[in-house]
Amino acid sequence: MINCLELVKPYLQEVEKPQRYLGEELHQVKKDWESVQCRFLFGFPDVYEVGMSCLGLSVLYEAVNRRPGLLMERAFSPWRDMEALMNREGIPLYGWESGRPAGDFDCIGFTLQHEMSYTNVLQMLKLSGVPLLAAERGGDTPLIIGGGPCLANAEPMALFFDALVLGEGEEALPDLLEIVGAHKAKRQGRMDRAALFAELAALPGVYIPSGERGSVRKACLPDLEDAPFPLEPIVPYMEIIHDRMMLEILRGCTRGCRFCQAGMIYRPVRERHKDTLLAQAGMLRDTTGHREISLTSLSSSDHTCIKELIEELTAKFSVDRISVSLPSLRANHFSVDLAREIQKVRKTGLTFAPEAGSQRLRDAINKGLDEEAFLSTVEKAAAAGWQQMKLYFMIGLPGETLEDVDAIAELCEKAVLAGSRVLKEQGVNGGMRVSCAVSNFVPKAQTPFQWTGQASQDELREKHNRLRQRIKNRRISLSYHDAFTSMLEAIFARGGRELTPVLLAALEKGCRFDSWTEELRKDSWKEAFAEAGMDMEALATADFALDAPLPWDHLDYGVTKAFLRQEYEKSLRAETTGDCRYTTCAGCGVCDMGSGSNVGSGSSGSSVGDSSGDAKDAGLRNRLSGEAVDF
Amino acid sequence: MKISICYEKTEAGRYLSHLDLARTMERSLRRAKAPLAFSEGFNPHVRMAFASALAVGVTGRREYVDVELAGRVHIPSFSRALQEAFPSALAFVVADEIQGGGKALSAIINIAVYRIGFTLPPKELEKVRAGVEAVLSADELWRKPKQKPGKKTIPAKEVRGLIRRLVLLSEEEAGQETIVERMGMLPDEKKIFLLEAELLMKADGQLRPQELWEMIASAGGFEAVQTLSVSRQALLILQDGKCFSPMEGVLV
Repeated sequence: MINCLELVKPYLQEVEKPQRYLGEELHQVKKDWESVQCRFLFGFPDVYEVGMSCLGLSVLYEAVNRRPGLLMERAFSPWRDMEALMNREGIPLYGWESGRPAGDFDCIGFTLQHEMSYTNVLQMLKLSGVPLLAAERGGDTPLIIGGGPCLANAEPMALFFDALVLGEGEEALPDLLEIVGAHKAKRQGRMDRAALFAELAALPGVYIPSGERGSVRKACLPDLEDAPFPLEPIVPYMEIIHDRMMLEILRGCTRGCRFCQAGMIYRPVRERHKDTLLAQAGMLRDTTGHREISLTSLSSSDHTCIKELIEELTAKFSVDRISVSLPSLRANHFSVDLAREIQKVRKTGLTFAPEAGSQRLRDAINKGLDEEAFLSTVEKAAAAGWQQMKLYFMIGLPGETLEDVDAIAELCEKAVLAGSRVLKEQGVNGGMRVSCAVSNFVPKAQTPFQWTGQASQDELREKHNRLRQRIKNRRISLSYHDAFTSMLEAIFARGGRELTPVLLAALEKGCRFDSWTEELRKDSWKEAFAEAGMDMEALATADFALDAPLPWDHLDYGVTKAFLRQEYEKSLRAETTGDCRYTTCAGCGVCDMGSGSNVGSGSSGSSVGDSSGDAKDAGLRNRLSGEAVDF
Repeated sequence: MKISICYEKTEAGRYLSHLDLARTMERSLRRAKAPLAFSEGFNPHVRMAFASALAVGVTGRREYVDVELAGRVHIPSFSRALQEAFPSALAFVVADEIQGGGKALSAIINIAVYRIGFTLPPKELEKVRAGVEAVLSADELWRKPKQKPGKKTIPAKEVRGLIRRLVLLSEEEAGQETIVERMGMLPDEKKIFLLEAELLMKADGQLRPQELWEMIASAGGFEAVQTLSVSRQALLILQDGKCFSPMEGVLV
């Protein structure tokens, strides 16, 4: 048996952060290789610190390893220095637990969390010694599978995969692996790919890209109460991005923001019961020793018992100085109350996402946040002692005018004035500071804006400049995302299989870690597209006809195309749609899916003020979101 | 109640930075249900003090941390709990209460014993011996000033005075070391050697094992190849010409 961990150890002093590559953490699961039928390697296409922050990875590690016939190990993207070292020494990608070469596993899976990780998937496949294209694989090459939110439009990556799992992986993934194991066991360890594909295609959520393109419906759990959840998660030695306990309190969101892919593809809304969550939190505290717990969801304040949950958690944990963090709060008084409760243990920042500056545009994207309610929230936050806050906005939204851009600056200005006035009344000098973080709108598949092209590069940059000029107040700091990165995201978010050669060329030109600002090689990407005879900007900005077939039409996330179209048309009239938990059914179609419906009857949750930190602008915020459990 | 804990930073923990180690220690203490004491303020932290930070890539056979507790613990049962709570990067050695107004370990520990493991073709051994000889017989050894862009220059320093003892261990002694596990990786024509160095730790300066290794190489006229392993064997207290271990009852 080859142990790659032992092979790399003598060279680890040469690379940055060797701890990334070593495993051996608390609660790592090491199963006997021979005791199982199917060995699965989960590849996370980014570095260890990012991958270990993904709750989905942790959940699937539990879901797969709890089954006796299965084994799951982890692998992460080696950083460039480590990749060079592995190539130099002829060491393949390996499982972090056993050190076994990737090629020894029966199945290798990758999560597609965001478009900018695609070249890393290819890097890892290449390091595994597996042919990159599914069509070139045969015989006993490990089965290559994938999952994650990017499957909402799987097509640009489809040809690299043998099978893809749409939707939630807690049941679907281990079920699939058991079939692979049984298949091989029947054939003395050999794999008959065509026969296996036929078996897998019968499973819910499984999409075989080489097969016929019939409609595939996502896998979806009826409820979360019985779903596997890691209560003894791995505790890393090195600092990771989200270095804390994570509890998923709520899945799905029906606020219906029209740009938000997560809000469409994770429906229906399902909650975990408060008592379940409290018990889980207590277990996690005892098994991990973390000093912070994060309650993850797309919109935390929408959990029907969030107030009680936080009060009880704080009461239980404050003696050990364990703080609670809420990543996505809506801009309303209720959220400020929640944040105050959390502050009792450790000081926390406040972040809200108005997304657009003007009322008209907020209505068009169905954010519906009322300016008065927002400013009153700012005042309340100032009264509670916050002297700074972060506000998220998007630029380049469909129908955005220059006045809408100016309105972002104006809203920030108003927030500073409102907050500062309250602070001054309380005798606090210095005033309210606002950091205004602007991302570029990226149209996403399975959303009402899936038909609309992205703003051109010139337009985005012009709007960035305009905003920079409009923001005069020194208490407002402005940051925005790179327009080129957003264009790449847009291309892959709505592209098709014709992008396959571009990805292969980008890989050969050294593109890796494209979501890391300093690693993005723009010229290489430009070359890759030019060689394929494609115009990047034309791809990103293309409007699709409403009745034209879309590359992802066969991928069914429960929300109907008719509903998306209706929402798109309402957005043109700046008409809003209510949240079906608090108003009437909007007819999105997910409740007809037969696997649960939107639950949660607003009690403590507020239905006014419509903003959250959940903006899925597919930038860095999105990259690290840990709420999704699909892989 | 204040306690001192003696632990090992194992081979599995070799690449932990001091911050990683501190985080791992705090989590272990929490899992062991230690009644921790916290600092005041917006961002409360655990009151613990390490005797001496250990560099990335260096293991430690006897390391120490002082921890302040908000309540009392029964040392034997607490020790068992901590032993169980440690991940593989740490190994529990012993814990004891700090009586009265005992000084912080970091203030009284002043000697570190290091072992440096390296591989060289056997014919190079004479050069290492010569290098060790030259270092030991020198009256003064000056460390070059260090200049990093944007940072204050670290002035040159005489470091011979920091070296109390330096020996090249015999092959037999070296053979007992854990690095032998790596022998499989060694080409046949090379052998493992070990240097042991006792270094004074002073408030105004310490000599890092890597620096010492480079000095020996330069004095002996051989290339300072990448070391195989560096391990801190002991932290000691030198007082009135006598050396003793920081925690009574612990054999070093």
